Amino acid sequence: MDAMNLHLMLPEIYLVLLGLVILIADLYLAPEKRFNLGWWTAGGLSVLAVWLFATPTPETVEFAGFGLYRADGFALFMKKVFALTGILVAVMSTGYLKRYGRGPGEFFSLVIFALTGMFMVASVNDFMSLFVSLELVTLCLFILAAYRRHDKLSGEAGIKYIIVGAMAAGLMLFGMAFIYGATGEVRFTYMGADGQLVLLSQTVANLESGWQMTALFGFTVLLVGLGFKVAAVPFHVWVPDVYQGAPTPVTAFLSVGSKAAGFILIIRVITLVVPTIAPGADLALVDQLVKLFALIAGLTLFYGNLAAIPQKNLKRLMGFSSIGHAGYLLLGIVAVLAMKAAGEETMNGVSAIAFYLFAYVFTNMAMFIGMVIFTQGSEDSHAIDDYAGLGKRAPLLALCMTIALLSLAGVPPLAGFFGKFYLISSIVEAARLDGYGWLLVLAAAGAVNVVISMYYYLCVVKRMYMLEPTSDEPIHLPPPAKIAMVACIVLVVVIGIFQGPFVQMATGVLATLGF
Amino acid sequence: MHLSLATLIILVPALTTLLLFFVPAKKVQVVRWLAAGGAFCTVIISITMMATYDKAVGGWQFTQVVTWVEDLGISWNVGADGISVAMLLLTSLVIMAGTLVSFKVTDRPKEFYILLMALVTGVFGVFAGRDMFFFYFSYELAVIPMYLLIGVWGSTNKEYATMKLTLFLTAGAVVALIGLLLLYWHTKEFFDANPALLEAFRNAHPDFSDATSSSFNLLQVQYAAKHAMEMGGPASREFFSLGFQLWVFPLILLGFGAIAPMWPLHTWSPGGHAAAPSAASMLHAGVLMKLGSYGIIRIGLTCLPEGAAKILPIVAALCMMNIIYGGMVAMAQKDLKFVIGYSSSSHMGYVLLGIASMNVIGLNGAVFLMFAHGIMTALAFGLIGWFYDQTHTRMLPDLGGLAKQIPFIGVCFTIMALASAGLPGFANFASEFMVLIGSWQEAVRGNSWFFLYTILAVWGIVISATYLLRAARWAFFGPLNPCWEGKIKDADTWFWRAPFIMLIAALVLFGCYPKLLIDVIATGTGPIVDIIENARQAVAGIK
Repeated sequence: MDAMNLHLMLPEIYLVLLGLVILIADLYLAPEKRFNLGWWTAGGLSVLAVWLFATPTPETVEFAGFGLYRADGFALFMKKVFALTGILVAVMSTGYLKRYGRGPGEFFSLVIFALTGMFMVASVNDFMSLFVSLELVTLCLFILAAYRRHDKLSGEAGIKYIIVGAMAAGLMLFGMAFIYGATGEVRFTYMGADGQLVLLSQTVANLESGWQMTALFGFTVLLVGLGFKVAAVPFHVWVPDVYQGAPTPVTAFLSVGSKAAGFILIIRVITLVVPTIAPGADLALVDQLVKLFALIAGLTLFYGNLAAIPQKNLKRLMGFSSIGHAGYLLLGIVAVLAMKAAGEETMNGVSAIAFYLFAYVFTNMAMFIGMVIFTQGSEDSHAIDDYAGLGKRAPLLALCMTIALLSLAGVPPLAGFFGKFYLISSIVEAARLDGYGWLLVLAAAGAVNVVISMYYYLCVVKRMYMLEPTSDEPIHLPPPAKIAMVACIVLVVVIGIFQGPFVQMATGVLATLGF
Repeated sequence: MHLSLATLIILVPALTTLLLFFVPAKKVQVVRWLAAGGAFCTVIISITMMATYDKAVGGWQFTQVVTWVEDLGISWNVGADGISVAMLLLTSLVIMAGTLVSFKVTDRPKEFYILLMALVTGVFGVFAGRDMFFFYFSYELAVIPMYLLIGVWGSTNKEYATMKLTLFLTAGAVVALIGLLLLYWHTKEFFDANPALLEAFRNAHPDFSDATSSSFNLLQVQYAAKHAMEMGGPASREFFSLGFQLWVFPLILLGFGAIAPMWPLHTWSPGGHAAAPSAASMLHAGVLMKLGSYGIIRIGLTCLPEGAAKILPIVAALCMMNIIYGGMVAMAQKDLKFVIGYSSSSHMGYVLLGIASMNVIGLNGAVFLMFAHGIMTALAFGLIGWFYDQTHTRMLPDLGGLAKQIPFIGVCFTIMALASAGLPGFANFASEFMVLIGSWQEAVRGNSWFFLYTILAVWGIVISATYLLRAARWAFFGPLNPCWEGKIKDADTWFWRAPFIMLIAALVLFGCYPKLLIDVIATGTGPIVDIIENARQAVAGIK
């Protein structure tokens, strides 16, 4: 534990170096060649992805940076998710930036630095590193959101993101201070006096009840801060505007990367800091958290999906739908919390979330790549009505976007279906616990929202296939983006049919989660 | 690897779907014949299954088990028992007729056939599935292609109808999903508490020698339910108590009842039928609706028999609304497809009544009627589609005397109407008769409400005769509406006649010799009736 163990942090070091290489190369390349930096980025990240996928899932937790950093199965899994996200963002940004014509070097290095932050987030073992790595993500994404600086909407997106982000960060710090005050410790897992590893959750469990309440208050405030990151209602207000205004590849990055980062942190805090209540012990502390999260999850589900219905702009619709998806992911969190409150250590909720995020990357990225292709890199035709008759104008594009939308809606045989199935299954499992039968209401909310979301996703599909085209301008599908999109769609179908290996990957994270 | 027939019948349409993607859209003839070939293979497979099904042994045959998602206990677990064999035969006949009728589709035929084949893959998956996950998976898989089939190729208010249909069926599916998940976790708890029984289950089923306590395997859930119910009285036992069953059975019932369609959840169905293109409405009314009643029988009755025993008598009352109300509404319709649409929900009332009577003959009749009605209604929609493509109206007042122009279609339609109205010699008569006897038996057994239900159901047949013959007379007989003079083509080649002749032949064959099918069906329904009977005795006297 008390060692630097730099070798564990090699992926992050590699990313920082890659970002610096891009920045420096930008200075020396001829202006028209700078746009090739996107391929450099994608290539560099592909190497990283291959490396990560070749790394066997660790069977024990190892610590680096004197206990600030942990390398475990969950971290590795999420890093795979982030690396794939990064590749896809790089591919779709290249064409986009060529069209926009400005500053590819900065753009791609910011993407890589944001990814570095996400990688660090996946491995946090300490409130300080949590804060710093999350801020790294937020600051990079803030600049990226405002990247079209002559575009009012993009500026608005950046400002909203930074103000809300700063407020969330402030709340998180506030919460951390309370937890530190109650426990005297900032690390999640640390070496106890007797040389044994101690979880912060054990420390919290052993506190006097007054200090426990202090720690509980701290969690709540910390989780409010994280609620902003994952766009849970009522901390979601920034989402539609930021999603709409940010350049489309950045919106894609936000919707997958930033959301995943938030959920990693919530899972880390819950698995490592929130105590598992022994049977017969006082339930109050964790029980309250279950209720709070159940309420937030229910509100998030309904708000996100209902508010998506009247949207006219596809990017805004995707924003609200991403709130809805956060609601689904929160179901897994509630399931884990309820298990903890009942004194059980099973965490099917976490593997369900891991699976869902993995599936969500490809589904959402395919959708956003489709949108970038459709708008040909501009930002002025995101109205859903513009997609009318796409099935006739560009059959392949329409097919891919339809499959992505149906996967988001949770239709078999697509990846999103199994993700939702897995999450709802985990919440039903939690509802079988004594005293948590009411969680079935939440499961029902999840089920009802499948129907609601199906409505607005199908409304987009309807325009593509059932209405006549409003313009007969041909749509050019640039080969790299097309290949990336089709690859995503193939993966969505493969994951949806052959779920086994992917579920195994997702359950593999559990072994080293609670140490 | 050895593939069982049950696997093949799912794989063939799935592979056809995949192959169709790679056929250039311009090669319309290739697309059509490829789809028809796929459908033909399923017919061959299902007839082989029917012929080789060992009735003396009964139970599940043509089984295949492959572990799919080990961590959750999901497996590719297919097979067919007597009920499945009948339903698979029905599905393959309807899809065969559907692909042939759809040779007329000229607008984007490739996409049309891809969706049709994807849909039917889901249907086969439900009927041959023995794993609750794949059951649900296939069920949902069947819904979405229908959305596009109706939305793109449909008519008459199609956008509204198709959205309503999709949302209704999805809502039903997710309600059922909650029920299935409750069953899954409950079974896991049961086996965790009784590891000896898990061991016994593994030993009893060599296919499942590596089963764990968490499993979506329907056989394992049934095994758990059976043994849990032997462990004490309905109210006092720990697992599968009456309270649990009364919670979960309604979820299964409502979930699958939405597609059955059980009154008052039927409202999506007539509009959906009317809007759908011919092949889609053939599949839809012919096969898709049967998924609902099949799900109730397959999961509700076998896993939750006590809940079923308590709740089914209430369902019988709802069936009366299906039969009588549905029939009355059908009488008032002017649109021919709406007549058949409401008649479908009326006839499905008989199926549910057969299930609700909970005895051998009633359940056999219900399954047989599912088969007979599927064939009959597919025939009806195929015929209507034939002339609608040319007249672009189905309103009865605008038609009239069509039999003079299209005698073949007119004769087939009349046969369909007579069969549907319960003329002896057709499968519908045999099956409805069995349902009525089953219902009467239930009345004799002590539930005197069933006297009333049986009498009303007999009146339902009169009502259906009224609206069907009225529709046939209005559309096909009487003076020819002059605007159709010489405008409509009959099915004048054997190719176009083949699907209709095939369906009529099936109706007549099984109508004149029902034993052929009923012997097979009975091997499937027998064990289910035993389960129900035990449950009824256990809950007798409990309010």
